[in-house]
Amino acid sequence: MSTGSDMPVVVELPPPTPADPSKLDAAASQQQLSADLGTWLPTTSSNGSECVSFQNVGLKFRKYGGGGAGSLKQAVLDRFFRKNYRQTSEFWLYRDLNFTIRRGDRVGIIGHNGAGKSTLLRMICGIYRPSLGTIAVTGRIAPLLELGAGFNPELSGLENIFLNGAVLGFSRREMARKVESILDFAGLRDHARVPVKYYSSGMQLRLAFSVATDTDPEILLIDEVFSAGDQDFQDRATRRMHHLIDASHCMAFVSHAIPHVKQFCNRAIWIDHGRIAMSGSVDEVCDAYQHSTPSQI
Amino acid sequence: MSPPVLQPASAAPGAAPKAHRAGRQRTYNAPGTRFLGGKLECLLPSVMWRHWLDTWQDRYVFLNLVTTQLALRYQRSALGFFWTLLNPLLMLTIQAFVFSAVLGANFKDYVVYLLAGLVPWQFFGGGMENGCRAMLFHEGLIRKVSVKKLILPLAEITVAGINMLFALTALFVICLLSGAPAHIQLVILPIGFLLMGVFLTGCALVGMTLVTRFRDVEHFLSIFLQALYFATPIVYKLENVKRLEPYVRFNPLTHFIAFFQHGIYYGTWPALSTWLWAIGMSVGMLFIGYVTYAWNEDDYVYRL
Repeated sequence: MSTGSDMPVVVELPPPTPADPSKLDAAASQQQLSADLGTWLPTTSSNGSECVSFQNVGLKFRKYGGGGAGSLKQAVLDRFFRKNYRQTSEFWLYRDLNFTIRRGDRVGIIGHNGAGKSTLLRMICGIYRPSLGTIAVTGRIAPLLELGAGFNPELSGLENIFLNGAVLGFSRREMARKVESILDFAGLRDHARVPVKYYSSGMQLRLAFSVATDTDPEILLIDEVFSAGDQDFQDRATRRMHHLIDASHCMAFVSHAIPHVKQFCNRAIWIDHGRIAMSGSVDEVCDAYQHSTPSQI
Repeated sequence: MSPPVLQPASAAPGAAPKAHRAGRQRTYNAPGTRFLGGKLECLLPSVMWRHWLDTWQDRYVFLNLVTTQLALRYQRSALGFFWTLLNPLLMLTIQAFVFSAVLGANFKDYVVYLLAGLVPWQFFGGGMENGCRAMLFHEGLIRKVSVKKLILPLAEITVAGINMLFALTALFVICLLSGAPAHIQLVILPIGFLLMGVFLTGCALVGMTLVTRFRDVEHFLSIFLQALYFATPIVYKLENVKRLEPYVRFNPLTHFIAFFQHGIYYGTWPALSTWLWAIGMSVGMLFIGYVTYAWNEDDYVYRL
């Protein structure tokens, strides 16, 4: 029952919604009321080929003044004077995002800086919980979000393989079987005992990529990691990517490099200001995206 | 013994088993709107179960954090893991020596009393110091990969607990050397350890939320712990603080540490009030900690 890679990305363009968040809240409350208790139980998707599905997803992103944490003084002042001393800003990064990634899809996600491409991948991982709507993910995820994501710089490369494997859901014993092939693919056999903080960015990239792809992921999330790594590794990584894709895994790939997107993806989603501006086959979307940005070469 | 299962035809004989966890389904929902705008949905049994399942799913990360922390601490030292025993042994001896000299108490008698209180205190103090900063320590894990955030403070507390077991071993060595008698009441030590661990978990979850939200609390934390240390009968005895005794009894830690002092030093069973205080405070604190954590679980990532 394998659906081929010609299965389309189902994207319903969201209807124009009011930008007023308060109205959105009210509408969402209505929608949430019906499925409040049941939503916590894992829902079985009707179609087994769906890997990732976003249903009416909204994300209210918070930025706290002063680099994340507030201070006690400001919080107390806020309470007493009913003012916002913290310069907290909340804004809707996404509103009403609907799309589905099916088995065999290779989806390129493109858009300008700050459009919310990387956050989209993080939401698939579960790092950010949606403020509205539902995300359903079926299958094991291997995220390649940032250089050295989830590595502990103090630990050796070997220990980090175990740590990263644990994050992906593998026990120490299961990872021990994979260590050899991971080190071989990364070409880091000689540096396995060196703490990762002494690794170059290329070495970190190679290690992260090798771990993530050697654990037989069903959903591969890649965020602009192909910029590092030497030519030899890029070639091998490209081959492995094609192999993974052939094994009917699905992939979401964020990049600014349109040639890369065209090389790896069959579908594309163009994100603009928290909405899906366009989606469809990779050539159409990439061309439209490039034409919309005359400043780009 | 189950009968041998026929291999499916497609599986090649001798092929490496494919590490494949098919059909792992995860659903992320927006917070509900019932129960105070979703705030109290964490009290629903289904939500509690969900939290537990998510925590269980990340058990390998938990184990990894605990083992690497223990290994990292002694990685480059010549004596290696021997330090886990030597360090508390030396620390405890110095403390006991200084305090007995200052207070002019009988050293052999006082050393056992002091250590019986100091070892569980170090569990609590160390667990709070690290548990409250768990989110800050593991910022990379929280922001870049998806892990259940609950395992981070739990790992820190477990490390503190393991350190305490080593310290307890050192304590028994000291007791043996000083010729202190072994009491039958030592059997309550595991109960005291467990209750204290539960209490510590609750406290650390609240403290962690405060530290992550308001960084000032981090600086305040060690001062608060220092005050708590002297508000607990560790260097002094409860019967020596006549006028203040009701206040000292109000401190929940007094009762947790009493388990150890009764078992190791006094050789008597703890009073009923101690049992009630300890059980009530640990369960109550765990509940408060859980609710605090559940309310803020989605918010931590924005605060780093």
